Amino acid sequence: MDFLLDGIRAFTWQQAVMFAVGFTLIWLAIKKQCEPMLLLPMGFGAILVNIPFSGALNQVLPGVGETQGAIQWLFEVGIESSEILPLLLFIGIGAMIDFSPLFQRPIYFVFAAAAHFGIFATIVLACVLGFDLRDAAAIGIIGAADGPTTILVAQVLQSKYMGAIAVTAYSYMALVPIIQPAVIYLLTSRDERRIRMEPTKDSDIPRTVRILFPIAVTIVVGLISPAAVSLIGFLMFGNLIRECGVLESLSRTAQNELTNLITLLLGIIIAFTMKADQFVTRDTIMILGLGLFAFICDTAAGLLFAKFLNLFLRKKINPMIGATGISAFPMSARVIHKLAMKEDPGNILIMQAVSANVAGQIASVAASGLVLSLVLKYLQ
Amino acid sequence: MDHAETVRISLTIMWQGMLGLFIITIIMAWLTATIIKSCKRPEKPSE
Repeated sequence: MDFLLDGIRAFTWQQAVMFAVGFTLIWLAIKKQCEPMLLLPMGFGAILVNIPFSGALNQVLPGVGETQGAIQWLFEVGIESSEILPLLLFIGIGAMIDFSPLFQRPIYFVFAAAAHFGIFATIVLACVLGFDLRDAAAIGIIGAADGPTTILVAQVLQSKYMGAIAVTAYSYMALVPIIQPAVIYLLTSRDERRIRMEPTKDSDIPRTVRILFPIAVTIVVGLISPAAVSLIGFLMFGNLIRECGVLESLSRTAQNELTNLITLLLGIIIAFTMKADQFVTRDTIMILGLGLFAFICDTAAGLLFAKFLNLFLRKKINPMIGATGISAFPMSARVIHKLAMKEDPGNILIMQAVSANVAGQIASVAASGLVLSLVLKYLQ
Repeated sequence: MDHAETVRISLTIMWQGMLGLFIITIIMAWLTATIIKSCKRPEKPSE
C-alpha cells in the first residue's frame, strides 16, 4: 500500500510555499476582491500544479511513457506556441473601451507617454540587479499595468519568470488604490491637488471619427513599432467592432462571452508557470520589488510631467491627471477622481482622468511594442 | 553580453523607448484632433 504515500513523501517545502501562495491569492480574490477574475483561477491553479506528480502536468509514467496534462497542454497551445489567448482577450478589452472622453481632449495622450516611464526605469534597474536583458524587459513590462500585455511580452521574450511576472502585475494592478495615493501625497502639495480644471464641453463625436480612430491608431503604431501590430491590432479590432454600429451582436459577444471565457482559462493556464522549482526563488522576491518600483515610477513620472507642463501653462493642470496615464483602467481614473473630491468636494476631474486613462491603454500597448522592437534588435 | 554592456543597452532602450513613445502619442493626439476637425459638421448659424 506504499503507493498511497508516494504523493505525500514527494511533497517538498517549496510546494508548501506555493500552496500558501495559492491560498493567499484565493483569499485576496474572495475576501479583498482584488482582481478576482484572475487571482482566483491563478491561486487554484498554483495548488493544482504543485501537487506532487500532478496529472494537470505532463508526467512520465513507468510502462506508459509521457502522458499529457491538461494545464500544460493548454499553456503550450494557448500561450507558448502562439500567444493567442492574451491576444483574443484584447479583442474583448477593445470592445469594452469607449474612447469618447479622449476625443474631447486628444492632447492627454502625452500624459500616457509620461506615465509609462516606469517600464523603462524598471528595465534599467533589473539589469543593474543582474537580470539578463530578456528577463529585465519582461519584468519592466509590469509597469504597463496591463495583465494580458505583460503575459504576452514575457512569452515573446521567453522569460523564465512568467509566473512571477504575471502574479506581480495583477497584484499591483489591484493595489493601485493604495500605491497611487501614497505617491501623490508624497509628490504634490495640497494646493496642487486642489487645482480645478475647467470642464470641457462634451460635444457629440461623429461616428466616422469613432470608426477611423481604431484604424488610424493601428496604422500609426504599427508603422512605428511593427512588433506591436498584433497587440494594437486586436485591441483596435475589438474597438472597431464596437463602434462600427453594424456588429452589435459580435460586440456584445466580445465584451462578455469571449472575455469571460478567455479570462477563465488564462488565469488557470498561467498557473503552469507557478511550479515550486521555478517560483520559490530569490528572484521572485526581487520581481515583486521591481513591480512595485515600476508602478511607483509610472505614477511619479506622470505627476512630475504634469507639474513640468504647469510651468508653461496659464491654465494649470491638476498634476494628479498625469498619474492616470497608466493603463489600469478605470481604477486609476476612479482613484484620482476620489482624491480630488476629498481635497475639494466641488472639484470634479472624472472626465479628464478617464481621458488620460484610456490613452494609457493605447500607450501601454505601444510601449510594449517598442520594448519588443528594441530588445529584439539588441539581442541579435 | 557582460553586466556593464547590459546596463548600457538598457539605458539606451530607456531613452529610445521614451522618445519613441512620446513621438507615437504626439502623432496620435495630432491625428485624432485632425480627424475630429475634418469630420465635424459645420454648425448651423442660430436663427
